[in-house]
Amino acid sequence: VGAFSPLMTETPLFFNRGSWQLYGVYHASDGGSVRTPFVFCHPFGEEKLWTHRVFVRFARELASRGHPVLRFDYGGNGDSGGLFEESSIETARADIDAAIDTLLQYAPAPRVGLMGMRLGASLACLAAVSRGDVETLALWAPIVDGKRYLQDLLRINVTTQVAVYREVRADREAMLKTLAAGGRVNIDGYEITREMSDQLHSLALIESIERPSCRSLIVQIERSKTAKVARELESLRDRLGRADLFIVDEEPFWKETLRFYEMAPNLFATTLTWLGHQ
Amino acid sequence: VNERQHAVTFENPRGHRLFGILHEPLANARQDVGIILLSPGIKNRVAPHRLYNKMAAAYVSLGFWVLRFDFYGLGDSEGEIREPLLANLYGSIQTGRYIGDTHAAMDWMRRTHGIERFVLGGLCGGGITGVLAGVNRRDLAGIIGLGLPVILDGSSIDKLRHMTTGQLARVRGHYLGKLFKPSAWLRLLTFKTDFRMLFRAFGVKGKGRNQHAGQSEQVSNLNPLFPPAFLSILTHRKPILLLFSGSDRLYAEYKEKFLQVYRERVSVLSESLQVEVVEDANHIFTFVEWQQDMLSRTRAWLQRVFPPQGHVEARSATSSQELFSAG
Repeated sequence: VGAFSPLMTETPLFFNRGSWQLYGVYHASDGGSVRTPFVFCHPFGEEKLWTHRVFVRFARELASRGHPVLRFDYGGNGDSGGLFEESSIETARADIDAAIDTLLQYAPAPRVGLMGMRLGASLACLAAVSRGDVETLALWAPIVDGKRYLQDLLRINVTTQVAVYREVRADREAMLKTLAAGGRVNIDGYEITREMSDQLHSLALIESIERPSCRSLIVQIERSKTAKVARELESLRDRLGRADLFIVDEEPFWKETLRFYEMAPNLFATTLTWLGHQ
Repeated sequence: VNERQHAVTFENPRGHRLFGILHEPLANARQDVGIILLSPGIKNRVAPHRLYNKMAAAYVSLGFWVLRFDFYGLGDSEGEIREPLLANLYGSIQTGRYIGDTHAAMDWMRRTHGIERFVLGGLCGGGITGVLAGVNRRDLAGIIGLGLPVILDGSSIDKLRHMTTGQLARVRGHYLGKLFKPSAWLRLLTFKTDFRMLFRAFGVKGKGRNQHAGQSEQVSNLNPLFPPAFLSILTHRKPILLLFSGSDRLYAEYKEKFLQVYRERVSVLSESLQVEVVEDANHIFTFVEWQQDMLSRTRAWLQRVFPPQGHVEARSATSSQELFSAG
């Protein structure tokens, strides 16, 4: 993975999706032949911030190899309009469609690629299945089981309570009841609504998808070089059909690590090689 | 709708293109003072849980232009970070890494939008950057520092040695609370306990090199750049709002590492300084009630320190290119 060219152009922009203005950055391809354009789908909550720079650098890597890229923020996230509590799995899915339409205005092409990470990978997968124009799908550490992921999120709230109050004032059961009653639960500062939690709860990626026509890459990210392949990712690979599954050695950079994670060299190399770039 | 948002770029002194969002007030826009929110740590221009978006919305409704932007090497901006460890990156921010970027933002806002003076504000690293960048700037109008760090971070700095008495008391309470838990004793007896932490919390002195001279124990990890910058700004009667979170170690560090040492000088200059605490809150104001408390206090401070000076027409733009593209 080499240094990116300083000559490439990156354009910040807003585009409309319903009443929201969504923010994005368009990375024009760096001359030469233009290859499949990509839309990037970011992870949820603070994971988006921790992974942001890796997304930027990988977008530059792809653009330098001829792929136009649109990175964008879902409504209620990042610099896009709307409140986080107005967003959900469904709104983010619709946002991806709008992002693809916007990308194709900048870089007309018959088919597109989607790259997503964590919950963004799950959303990209759902989008690829529902659309006929996705040629390539790259999934970095996808969330396969939304129910379990929701529990992980609630655990973050519990951790915050213990750190601040030195006790658990509302456990996960209580939080689920709050959500069921139409209340909100705070995860790292983001207010989860009943709508969001219901949609996460019912997210069962493997059961949700029919075999799409696109080629797919699944990357399992592990700190340990001896990690075994996750069974759920093998199932996802089988369900996707034309899919490859790799384990790469990287830190879980979607959360705080000791290192500043700007590049994920093994992840980049695996993905670029799979895409046909040496 | 109180505002219009613009995606903007401008260059820093190194020639890196910095990306930002400019919030334009649509009513009672004022040109005398604008607000620049400086990125905290590596959490980009949105800050944790979009805190800066919420702050921008709260301040633009008062008529202030607000700029949020990414420092070089972070967020969408150009440039690279060469420090492999976050602690060293934080240390470099605390010693002024982004002063040039901040000055570039001030100059760009003046040149393109006619803003005369600036409040530099931010959480954590954004706060200390504001203080360091604001020194000797005539166009500094004030500082809003949220959870501002007065110490230095770095991978070579032993955090354990520099814990405040408040932190140590908390750790002691933690250990004492486990006194009757068999699992805690098991950890102790199987040497899984952090003995350095345990001894530090209960004041047991070891024979390590740090304890030999006694002198190194006294060396503070106070950021040497902070006191002169902070006091200089106060000396020039530029208002500063420091807002800390009650559960944040940074408040204890401010009191213990800085205020105890500089109390006399600060008290002489206290007219321009306001220090507030959001009870219970953590460093990033996670819960909504803490966010609202912080927003309410900072808005009240802005309204008090910068009362509206009559309606001023926004400078007319001859082209959007002039207003919103690279300067």
